[in-house]
Amino acid sequence: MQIRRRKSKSGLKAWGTFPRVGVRGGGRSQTPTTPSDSHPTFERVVTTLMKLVNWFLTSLFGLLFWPFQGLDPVWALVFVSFLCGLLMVWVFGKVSNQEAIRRVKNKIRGNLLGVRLYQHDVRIVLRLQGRILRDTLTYMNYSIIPMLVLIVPLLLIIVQLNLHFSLRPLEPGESAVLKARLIQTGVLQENISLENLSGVKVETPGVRIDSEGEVAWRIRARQPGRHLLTVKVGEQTVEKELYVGDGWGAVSALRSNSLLDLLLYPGEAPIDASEKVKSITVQYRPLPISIWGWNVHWMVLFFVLSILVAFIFKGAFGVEL
Amino acid sequence: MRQRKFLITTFLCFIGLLLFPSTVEAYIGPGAGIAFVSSFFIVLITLFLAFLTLLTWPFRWALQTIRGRRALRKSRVRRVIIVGLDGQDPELTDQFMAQGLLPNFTRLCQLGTYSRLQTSLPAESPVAWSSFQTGCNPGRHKVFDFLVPNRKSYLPELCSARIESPTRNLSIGRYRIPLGKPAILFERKSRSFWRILGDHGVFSTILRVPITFPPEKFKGVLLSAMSVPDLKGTQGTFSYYSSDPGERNKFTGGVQVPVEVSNGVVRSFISGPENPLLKNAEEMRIAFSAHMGENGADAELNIGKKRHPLKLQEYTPWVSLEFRAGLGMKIRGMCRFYLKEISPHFKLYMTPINIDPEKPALPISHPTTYSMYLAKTQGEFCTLGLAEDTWALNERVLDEEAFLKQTYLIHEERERMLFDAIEKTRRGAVVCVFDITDRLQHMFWRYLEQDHPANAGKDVENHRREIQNLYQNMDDLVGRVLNYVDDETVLIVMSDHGFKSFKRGVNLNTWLYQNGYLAVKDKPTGAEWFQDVDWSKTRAYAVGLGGMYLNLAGREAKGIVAPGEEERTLKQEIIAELRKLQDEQRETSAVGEVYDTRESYEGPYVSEAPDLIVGFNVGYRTSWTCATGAITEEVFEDNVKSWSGDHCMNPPDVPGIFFCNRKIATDKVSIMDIGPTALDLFGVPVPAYCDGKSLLPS
Repeated sequence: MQIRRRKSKSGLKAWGTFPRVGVRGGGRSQTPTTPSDSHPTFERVVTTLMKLVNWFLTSLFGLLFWPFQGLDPVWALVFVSFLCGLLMVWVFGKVSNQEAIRRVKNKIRGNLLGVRLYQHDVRIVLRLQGRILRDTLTYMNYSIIPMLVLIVPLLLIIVQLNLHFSLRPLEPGESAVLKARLIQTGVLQENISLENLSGVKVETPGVRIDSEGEVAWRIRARQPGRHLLTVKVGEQTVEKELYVGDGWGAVSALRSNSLLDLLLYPGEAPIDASEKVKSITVQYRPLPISIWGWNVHWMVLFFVLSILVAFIFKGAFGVEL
Repeated sequence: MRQRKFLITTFLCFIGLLLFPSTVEAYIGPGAGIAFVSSFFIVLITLFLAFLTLLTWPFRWALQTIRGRRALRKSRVRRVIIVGLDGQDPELTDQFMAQGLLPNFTRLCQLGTYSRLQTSLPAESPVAWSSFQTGCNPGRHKVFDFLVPNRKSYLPELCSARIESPTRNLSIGRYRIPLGKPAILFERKSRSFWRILGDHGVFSTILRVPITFPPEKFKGVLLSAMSVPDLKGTQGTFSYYSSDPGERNKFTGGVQVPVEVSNGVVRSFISGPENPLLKNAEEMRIAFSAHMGENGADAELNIGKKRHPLKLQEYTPWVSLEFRAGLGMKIRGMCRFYLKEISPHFKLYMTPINIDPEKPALPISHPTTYSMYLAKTQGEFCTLGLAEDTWALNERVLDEEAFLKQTYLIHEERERMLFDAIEKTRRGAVVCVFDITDRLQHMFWRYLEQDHPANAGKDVENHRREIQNLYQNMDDLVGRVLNYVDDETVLIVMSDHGFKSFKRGVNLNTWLYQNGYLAVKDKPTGAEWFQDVDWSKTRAYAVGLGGMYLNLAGREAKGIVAPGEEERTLKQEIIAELRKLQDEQRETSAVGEVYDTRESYEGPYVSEAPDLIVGFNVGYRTSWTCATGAITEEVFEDNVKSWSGDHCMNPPDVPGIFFCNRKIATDKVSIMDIGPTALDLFGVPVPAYCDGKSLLPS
């Protein structure tokens, strides 16, 4: 896949892998850097903090993937898996009880040898196997602390990888469904429309599902680039980015007002809580990642590669895994 | 408590995360992934092995039953446990039992049998334990002494094993890459009883029985002992780092490395084996630095990237060493350090570099994985044949306290192995030999005798009860083993020989020289390894700890004694003269008996035995200078070394002990009877060539 950096009709910067989060794509005012006053203080602080973190990480990953723009996304994934494997083995070594892990793993290995040595005696073999299982639980127990420590950076990294490798942008001429979900459910009284349609064509009028508080449109991409679509509810407007092109990069499928979604979908700023729109989703298609002709989920590849790298380099770091 | 709370909290957090998953939380990276992958594979392998075990067990049981049907049908017991306490003396045992200090030995005696055990000729551990395992006299198993002469060079060689380098090598630049492994030749002949048991389907666990290196293949597991070299290929070479300029720098059994303390740091190196890959062999070394008072310890030892705290007068745990030979080849060993002194001088002792049992450079167990299994489940352990560093105490590099600590550390390792073996060997034989009884009596005997020459200038009070403590500790061990003994288990506790005082050394080569049997080139200078000897005029010489050899034509390279009549006459002459040997200073006879091995031994290897074996009276032994092939001015010398007790004397004076929880059929027990008894207990026929016989009532 090739990344194409082209100028769209809307005049926006061509779609690529660089970040575009935080200060753009807000609600009514385009730059809602702070949540509205109706938010409790704590939530406001957290939201601001998360936006900053998201902005930093998205920039960082954009920069990291920049040299791979012209290449198949699998190379970027291999590269980041390699870095993550190294980082994680280092962190694991620092935060885990290495001596205890070494001891318990030695016992496990020793008892595995014991199974072979005393194979003529079933009772001894079963007793040894019992000890192996017990020691395995002990080993897993020693892994809890490093695992908890690693959850935080890994979650942020994986969210970024999800942003880059889970979905691909719409290709020109390709259609997708855009859904806007409102806070209010039941019979939707307001006038709801999709506007600012440069680069896309709306193929169907908005289909309302009152019970869900949802309106869906079928749109068709026309021109490559990053387009800002506007959902208008009454007098309020909320924007959603739409990516059109045949490359790969940060593709944000969801923009919402939820704090959790802000964590999991860091590509766009959250919708202000005062808005009537709860979330806007674009149903992009998955980014195909293939190795030697086999399609694999990016997470599987990341899992295998990062683990492999960790095991290969554990000796160099002097870490017992 | 706080830690527990923290663990509970983190555990609950973890559970919480698991209960509320979303897509991207499905995988949380190498942290969990690593634990998951490792654990998953372990569980998978475990389940697979369990399945395989259960699936194949009926077949293996059937095969085992068919193979060992006859033996197992006739077996009188399920298990035989033999605990060898090297050198435990019957007189001291009697004395302490009479004082009520050995309740478990007394109990064992009441359960079955206690008697003296006739040792081997000579009364030396390699010979005795070879007779123990084969049921044969030395004429059949070919182990005659610790050292035997090379008949070409006359130089002493190890009697039980020989290591030969690979003959074919690939030459690339400065490297010489061996094409093949070094050949380790087992010089002990005949067959061990555990090998015969194995042939009949009986499993055995053999731990640290002397003369089991290289390990032989049989049905069971074995950890080798005496003759296992250190990584340098010696029988144990310690290193001693000292900044004291006043200390001498030549030791027997070790090397001194002078060091300097500069700004609280000592920099030196660990001397390793010769690089086997280089054409011009050079010693491999590992640099280290010792930093005084670092990180709360008395000192800190930095080897590579690893740091090891040193506490004053404490041993470190085993420290792994990795010598890089080049071309990616690594030779692994391990050692312990003992910080003897920091001020005014830095003094650091390092044990001989042991072969690492987890990655052994030489085969030290059967199967090879057995030493790995022990190391991984119980921790690293001493693998050197002569594990306790008696020379370090002899040379006063270590004091008694440090030597005791080292010895008991090794003993604890051995105890763990024994109890693991008892637990794992539910049917079969378990044999374990403890050396602590031998080593401590060698080194602490002087405390039992006020007038021992070795007491001069040394402490005589602090460890007066050490040998008694030792016997009580062995009693405690026997008590714990007895807990595993049921009606179907036979327990034998035995020693290979007893112990007596070693006050005076006898230089047999000097005696031979003074009596005209050994000639020197000019005059005796005391030079080692027979450098003074004129072999073309020498008729007899002594090597080892009591063996005497005729310089026989056709056998020795420069032999001059004609086989036949001249040989017989010379032997009779030497025997008659030696029997008259008097220690004029003490006004006692030094020699109790002189044995002609042609009469004392039987078997195919008699011709390779020493021609005569000198049985010294109690208090006498071959002198230290004689053992190194030096001709001195005096035949007799005081033994002033800490090695103050010995057993290389007339065998009837140093019998061993024999305890068994069953009654036996005879009151005369020989060390050669133990193997045949074990065979008989499992219903296995005793081979006709065995000199020993079963002790069980028929």
